[in-house]
Amino acid sequence: MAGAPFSEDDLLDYVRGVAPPELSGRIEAMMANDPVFKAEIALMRGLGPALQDNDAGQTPTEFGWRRVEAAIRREGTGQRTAPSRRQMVIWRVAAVFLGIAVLGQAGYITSLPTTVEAPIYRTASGATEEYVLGVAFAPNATAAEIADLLRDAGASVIDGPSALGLYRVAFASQEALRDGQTQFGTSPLIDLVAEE
Amino acid sequence: MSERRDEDRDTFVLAQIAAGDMAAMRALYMAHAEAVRRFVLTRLRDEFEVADIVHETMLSVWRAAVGFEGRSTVRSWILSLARNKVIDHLRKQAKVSLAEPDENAPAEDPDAEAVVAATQDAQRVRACVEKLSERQRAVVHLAFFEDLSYPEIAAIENSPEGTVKTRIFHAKKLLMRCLSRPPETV
Repeated sequence: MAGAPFSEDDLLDYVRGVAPPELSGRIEAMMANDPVFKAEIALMRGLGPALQDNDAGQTPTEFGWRRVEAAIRREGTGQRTAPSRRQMVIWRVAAVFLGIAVLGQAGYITSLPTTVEAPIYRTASGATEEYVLGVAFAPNATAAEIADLLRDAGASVIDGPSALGLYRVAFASQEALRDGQTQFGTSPLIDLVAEE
Repeated sequence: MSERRDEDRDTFVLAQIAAGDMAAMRALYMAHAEAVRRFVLTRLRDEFEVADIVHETMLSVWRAAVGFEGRSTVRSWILSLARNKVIDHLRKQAKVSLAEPDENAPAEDPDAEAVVAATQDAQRVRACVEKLSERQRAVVHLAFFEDLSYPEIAAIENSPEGTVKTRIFHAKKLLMRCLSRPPETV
């Protein structure tokens, strides 16, 4: 049973067809020599379809939804509260925007030339809606880290946060968006990147 | 890729729910209520109790959508809410003991040929799954029906990943033993 050379993760990957070829080869070699192991794999393959068959065709009922809807309308929205962790992220990002605004004003007052090529935040009137991603920042990301990341990616926040803490981030071109998507996808400062 | 799109869609739907959008809540209910019902059925038998748990779970989705942080998929998050509802329900009815052990796996090897043949018979496989402990049924369902990863299952079950794997391991042994027997004794 559960071949000692293979972990439960290995076996699950194999039956789901996502195991690397080398692992698949070793598992199949063992299946050829060990009937009990072969039976275990057959069982794992058979479980999904067997459970799928179970009262197939059931769909959520309108009655069930009506019951939920009625309960929601009865209680209103008074019990819904946001967590403090997300609020902290929102405040951090807000701090970035505030910092940019303060710097901008200081620059204007002292008549310094404005050399920022890619502002981190654009007003609605100046925003482009064409190349946009939805982004959720990690709760532990600092304001400075977020500002640096956006600047590196050539991105500007044009809207947000949504109720889920998602920000709409715009890029200058499709190519810049693709590069930014890759950069955001691997950044520990970003929890979620979603295409619009 | 399609799963990713579904998840992105779910995340945005949840954002709409957090903003108080009832149409989004209905869409989410229609997309996930059946999965919740199936999962709850692994732990409860009474259809009325199951319907109540699905109802309570979906109300919790409405109340807690604003607190979803995207640390799991929306589906996993909803199933973890359902799991908590079930545990609360069983505790109230004094039907659950957290110390209750899973049934241990039998020591002897099963009849491998009989098992391979029996796995083609969905009804027999389901009959054997029904004989597992409630917690073993739940993890088998999440792994082989919902196709969730072990970390996701561990988060839903509020158990260490190693415990989930051990449950799967023992469940498979018990299922193989069950499928080794002639059909009439299942």
